[in-house]
Amino acid sequence: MRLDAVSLAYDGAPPVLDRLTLETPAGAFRYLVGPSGVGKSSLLRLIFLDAAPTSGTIALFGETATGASPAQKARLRRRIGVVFQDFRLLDGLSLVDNIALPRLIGGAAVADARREAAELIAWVGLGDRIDATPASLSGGERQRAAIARAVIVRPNLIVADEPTGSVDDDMADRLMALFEELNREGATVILATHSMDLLERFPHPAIRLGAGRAVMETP
Amino acid sequence: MRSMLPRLPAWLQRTATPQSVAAGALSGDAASRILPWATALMAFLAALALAAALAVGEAAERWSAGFGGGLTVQIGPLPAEGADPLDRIHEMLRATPGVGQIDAMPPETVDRLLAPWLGGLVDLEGLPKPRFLDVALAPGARIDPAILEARLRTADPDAKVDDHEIWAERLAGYAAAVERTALVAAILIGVISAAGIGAVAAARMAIHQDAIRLMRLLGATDRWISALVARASLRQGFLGGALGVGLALIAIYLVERAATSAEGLLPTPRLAGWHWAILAALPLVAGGVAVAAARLAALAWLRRR
Repeated sequence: MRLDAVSLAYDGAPPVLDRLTLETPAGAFRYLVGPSGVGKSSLLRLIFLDAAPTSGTIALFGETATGASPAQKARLRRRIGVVFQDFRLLDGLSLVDNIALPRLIGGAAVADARREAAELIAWVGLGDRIDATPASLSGGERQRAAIARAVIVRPNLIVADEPTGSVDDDMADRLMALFEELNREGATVILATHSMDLLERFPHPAIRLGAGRAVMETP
Repeated sequence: MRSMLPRLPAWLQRTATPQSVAAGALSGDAASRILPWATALMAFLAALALAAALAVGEAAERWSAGFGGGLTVQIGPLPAEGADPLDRIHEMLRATPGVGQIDAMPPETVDRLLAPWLGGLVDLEGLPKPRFLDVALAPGARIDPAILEARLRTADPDAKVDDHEIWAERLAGYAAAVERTALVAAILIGVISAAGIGAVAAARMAIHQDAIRLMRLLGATDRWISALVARASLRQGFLGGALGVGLALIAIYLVERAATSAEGLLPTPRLAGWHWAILAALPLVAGGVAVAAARLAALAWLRRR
């Protein structure tokens, strides 16, 4: 993943990110830290192609994503697993179909996608809620479901925005162990967090954002 | 309508596709619920218009076949005194090139045709009545009715020649106009239905824009999302079409039955077997129109965002 002199401004306001240059090698694990409002979520949006930079270029998996066609973007997005801070589960689908959705979009057979989703749901401790609607889940359960959905396609890049913010310490440890396992198997992980405790218990290099710029910190 | 349907049996659920599963995320809104009923109404109207076009076309052919290739010669009543010109008229007709069989209309048939006009107030027995000869023409023969009438008047000054071809042409013209109008109405209803389905699809996209945005972020292409919307519309369009056409078929059957009881007073348009087959296939057309309209509308909506 490479960002080259990337700036992002919303509707003529001062830029949230100002000529940010950042390169993360394939297979890296990076925390994204910094005070609230510094632009962590905006940077993640740029990385998972939810926003286009005002200037500069972004390359993912060796391909230039800036200015890519909709079909190219869709192909790149299928290699990214995103854990949204607000979970974004779909109310019209059961839990198992929410988790299976990225596999269905990728063209998997329904039975296969549901079987894999059911295994992941059991793994994140929601095996008894497989047919539940998202509205009936607690915040912590939704967060676990959002993580299961992000990793079901075994993405090359995992982008997570506060993925352990709504779960207890035991579940947080378990989820971090999952991210580390996927990272050991080759996935690049970018994890935004406010939790210093997490950084201490699971040490990895951190990208510290401040005043629109990034500084690399090594533990 | 979706909630009224029983759950699909398990063996049929195995045929679920990724899009049929994901379509659940775009359901449950008011726009989705109204679509089958709107489609049912449009299919009902389209089926009636199409049935009218088919029935009038068929009736026109039947009437034209009945009228075509002949003349009716009207001569005066049997004279009280002097020679009856009927034999002379017969001779003149037989001598006319192109004339085939000549049949005299039986007096009781003439009475039956006249009775409704006279309201049963007059004794038809004693009434001087015109006589009619039904003259068949040889295949391809054309006779100028004005020239023939002038010749026949030398034998009977009251003689008149009525060319069936003229009536057949007028009737065919009238039937064609009715047929065209009904077809245009059916097509217009189809176009309006397609526009309505497209508007509903666009409304559904707007209502579920968060879900659509998420699907895009998970890697769905616009084609995939539009196919998902089209799939949902196919089910609703087909169900609505089946309901509307079913009701229309019942209505058409009842109209035909009522028309049968009035047969003889009014010309009765009828539907042939293949007409019923065309009407029965309309739900498939409604489903196809729904798919195409929803997909185009969804793609247009996605392109704008």
